[in-house]
Amino acid sequence: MQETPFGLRALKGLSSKIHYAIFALPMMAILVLGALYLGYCRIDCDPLYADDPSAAGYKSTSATSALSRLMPPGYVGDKTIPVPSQNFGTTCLTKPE
Amino acid sequence: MKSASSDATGAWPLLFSLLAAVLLAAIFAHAFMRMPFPYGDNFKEVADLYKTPISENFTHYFTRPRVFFRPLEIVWRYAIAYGFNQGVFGYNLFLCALLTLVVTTFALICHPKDGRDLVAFLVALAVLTGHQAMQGSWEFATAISNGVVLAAATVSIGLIGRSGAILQQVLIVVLTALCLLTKELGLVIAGIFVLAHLLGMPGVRRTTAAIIAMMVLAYLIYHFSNMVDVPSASWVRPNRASTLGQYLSNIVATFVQFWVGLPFDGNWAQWNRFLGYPWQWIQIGAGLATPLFLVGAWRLAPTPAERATGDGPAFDWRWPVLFIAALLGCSALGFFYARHRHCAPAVPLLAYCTYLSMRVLLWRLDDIAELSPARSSPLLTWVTIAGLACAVLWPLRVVTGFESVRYFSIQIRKSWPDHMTAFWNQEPDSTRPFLIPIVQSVDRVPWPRKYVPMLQLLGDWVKDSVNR
Repeated sequence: MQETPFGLRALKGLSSKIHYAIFALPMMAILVLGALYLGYCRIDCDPLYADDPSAAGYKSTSATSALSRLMPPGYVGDKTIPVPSQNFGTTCLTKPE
Repeated sequence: MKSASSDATGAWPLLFSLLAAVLLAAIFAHAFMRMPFPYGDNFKEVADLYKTPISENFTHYFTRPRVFFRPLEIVWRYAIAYGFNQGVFGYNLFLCALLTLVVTTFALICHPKDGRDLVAFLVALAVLTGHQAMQGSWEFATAISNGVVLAAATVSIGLIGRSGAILQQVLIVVLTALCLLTKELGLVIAGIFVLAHLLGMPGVRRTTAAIIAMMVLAYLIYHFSNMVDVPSASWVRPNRASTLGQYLSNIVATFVQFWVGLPFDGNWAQWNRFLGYPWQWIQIGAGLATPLFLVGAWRLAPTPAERATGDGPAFDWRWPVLFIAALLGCSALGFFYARHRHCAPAVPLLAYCTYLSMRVLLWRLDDIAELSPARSSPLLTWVTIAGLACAVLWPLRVVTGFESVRYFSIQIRKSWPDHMTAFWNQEPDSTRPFLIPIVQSVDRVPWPRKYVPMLQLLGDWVKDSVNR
């Protein structure tokens, strides 16, 4: 039997499952935290990047409003591009203007 | 020397790996669905496809001089616009589908059979999704080029490693054609198939390799005979190379970027641009640890005698060779301008080599008390350290990728209302009407979620962890 390589003596007494856990833990932690983050986003219905959009530097939060101020009265846009009827099934849909 | 890892086998490792892959795709999908269409990024092409028949679009494409030859991009655009049926945000759905395809395919290719394989897969999954070249493909206009080729590169691993049935050969030829017509990087996939045959790998037959070689030849002849003069094509966009020296600089920069993320934009003056931020230390640390880990694991691979008497994992040296070839090919194709995404086809092979290497390391650690004389060296210590660095740092790069998508979404979302006047004034009368449904769609996209305070530990400018 060979001598355990320098630096790995601490691992010698551990079972293989402990070795595996050490290597798997970071990615497992990311997956679990990511899942919790998704759950948090479903529960917390404040979808804003910041609590106060104007404080975060946004002049306006609606592109449609900004565009409507530029369009001549009665201007009709192209109807061939479909506009999604809903926000892809997310629960937190409404953003205050 | 039979290890405990092989005692617990069955379907559960594969099921768990598929679950992990799908969960990761779902997490990223959450960010993708909050990334609106950026103005100016192919706006005209998007508007064109709604008012132009595909045949007319193709005719126009083939009759004008061009630098890039990517006719299938047109097909992808129509497929996305009408197939996913959500207007311009079909691209978001397409991106979600593409990532799901890549990660689940990768899980099926690795096919973990026990706990050891499963752990190796998790680290490899982090490499696959944490790499900046993968994340650089998660953009509105690059998903249909880099993203498609990256997905094809993932599938190609499964095809090369299999038995070489007739149907498989047909798939290889179809996949090669798809890649060549989607983006120049498709040349890398074609080259990998031919090299795999030359290395004697079972999946690619001689006839198939010959057909692919002829396809590449025909592609190159057609491409170069219809291409504008490249040195004079820096008009396409600024900061493109036009001299031999600049080409070589970009090739080297693309190679270096693949590992450490710098120099930003391939500009060597920016080699230290983000060195002050923890996310860049993570990127560099992972980028340096990974090649050390791969080379060390190669040296530690079980000998034939060890495989005959135990459960040592297979380690085929030809996979690292294919990876190196893919990386060099991608770097060469980055000659015109350097971006992270240009090495996308090499990422699945890097992840697969990491999977094979991690299995070797874990097996050595299983049998740490029974090491063979030839392998009981400090090398195992160093490989363990490098492997641990990979296991810790690559998942963090997954996080920085998520954060970059989230922040990129913020920028786009913010730019639409802030710059609406400029957008309106830039558009001619013919395309202005298309602004209206697109703008309405932008407002339909939910805002990215709140900032997670813990991520402040990564430092500022995390969005630039991906050089788009």
